[in-house]
Amino acid sequence: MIKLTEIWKAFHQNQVLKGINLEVRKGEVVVLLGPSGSGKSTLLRCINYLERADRGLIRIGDLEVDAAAVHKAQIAALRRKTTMVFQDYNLFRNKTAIENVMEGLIVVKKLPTKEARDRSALCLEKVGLGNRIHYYPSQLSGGQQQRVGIARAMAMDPEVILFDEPTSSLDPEVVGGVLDVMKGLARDGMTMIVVTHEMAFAQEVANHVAFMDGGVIVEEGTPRQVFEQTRQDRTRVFLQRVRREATVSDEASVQGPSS
Amino acid sequence: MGNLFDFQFFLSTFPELAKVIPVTLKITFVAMLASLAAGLVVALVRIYKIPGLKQIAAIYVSFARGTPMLVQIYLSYYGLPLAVEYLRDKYGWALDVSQIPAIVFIYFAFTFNVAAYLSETIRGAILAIDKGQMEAALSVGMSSLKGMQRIVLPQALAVALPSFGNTVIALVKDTSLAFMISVVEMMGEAKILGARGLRFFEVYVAVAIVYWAICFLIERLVALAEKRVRRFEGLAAVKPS
Repeated sequence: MIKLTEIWKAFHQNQVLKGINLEVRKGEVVVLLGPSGSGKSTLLRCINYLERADRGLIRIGDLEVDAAAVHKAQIAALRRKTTMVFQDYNLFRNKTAIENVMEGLIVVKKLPTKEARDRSALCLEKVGLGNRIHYYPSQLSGGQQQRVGIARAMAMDPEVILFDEPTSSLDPEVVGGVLDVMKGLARDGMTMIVVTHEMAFAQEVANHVAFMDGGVIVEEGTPRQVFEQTRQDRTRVFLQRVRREATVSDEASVQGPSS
Repeated sequence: MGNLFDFQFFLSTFPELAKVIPVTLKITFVAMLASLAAGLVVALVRIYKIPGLKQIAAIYVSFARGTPMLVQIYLSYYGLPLAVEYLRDKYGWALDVSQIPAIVFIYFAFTFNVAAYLSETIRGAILAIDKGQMEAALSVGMSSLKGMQRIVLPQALAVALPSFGNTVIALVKDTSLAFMISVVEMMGEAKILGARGLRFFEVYVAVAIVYWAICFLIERLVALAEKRVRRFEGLAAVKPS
């Protein structure tokens, strides 16, 4: 179980998170929605301490960290319980696909090389890249790189995987493949917190949706509650805009090949 | 042309010069290795902005790059013994300063100078690596030290290598200054040979050729190393390891 209590974060004068509370049960998929600048990525990055929250409690399983009095060992422990999938993949450029996945297993989990290799190969198999394991990131497409990123995150067997806009940098035609991998993970019972604009994914896979704006969670609930029984105007405006953009880009991609 | 250019003498200087090539290479090798280590430390101090040390590092780099190599050699040759004597008297070491071979001061002076340049190269190379690489390392639970060592530095090496090559070549040529404090390397040997045969031009042509040959070899070696280090950027198929 993950529980965030009163998370506050400012960049200089700019208050980005204003007391966020969020609870995620084991095996749940939580989708964070919101306009850019709403603080959703920052919130995600506060969970594994890529950003330091100014105040608040971060609880993952039996580990509770008080941001006001955190020390190094706690940050390390938090990072061992979480992994992250990045918008720009951030694969280790000097390592092949399988080495990317093995790296954490060897350095952090201290697995013997052979075991790390077998497990990594299995993870790459799962994301459909069994035939690309010796390719460097520079030799892989964006969609393939992101699937390696997911394999790297799941290989560590974390309590939660944090997805930071995993499909936002991808060409539209490969988004589906990456989302399918994520759906598979969700089916397998992986706990996931996902920042995304993919409404269909949220609707289909999420157990819980939270809409953020201006550093607070404006509205949250089941996908049905948030998408169909929307209570807040801000949410409604955002959803309308995203849906309109989705239609426009669908039309564009339909017209694309003929032109 | 016999009188204008003594070809016989010119050729006879090559074996003599070859004998001291190891001295030149030794200075280059020791100074380069020590500079890489020192340069990395200085670069990290400046990147992590370690209070107190970062100001010292900045002043050091500015001084080392802003004073002539020759001056630094003299400062090392005349200044280091004073410092050693001071420490010896303070801690009661049994040490005779006059027994320290001159080449030690050359090692020190060159390291002092080259490390400053390398620290800037290394700093630039590390900063050129996308921030996301370290974040990814941290996100799988690696310490920032491990992330630096296994992810960032290998990539930074690929960025810095061409510049390292330039530095080594400059260093090889600068070793010709070592004779100023009577370390007999190639240039020193050339002067001795010239004085002995009363033929300077021939021997300087010879020494120029030897320097050029050494630098040419280094260029090739660096190009090879670059290919190896940058292989992850290539688009060629990779052989399974």
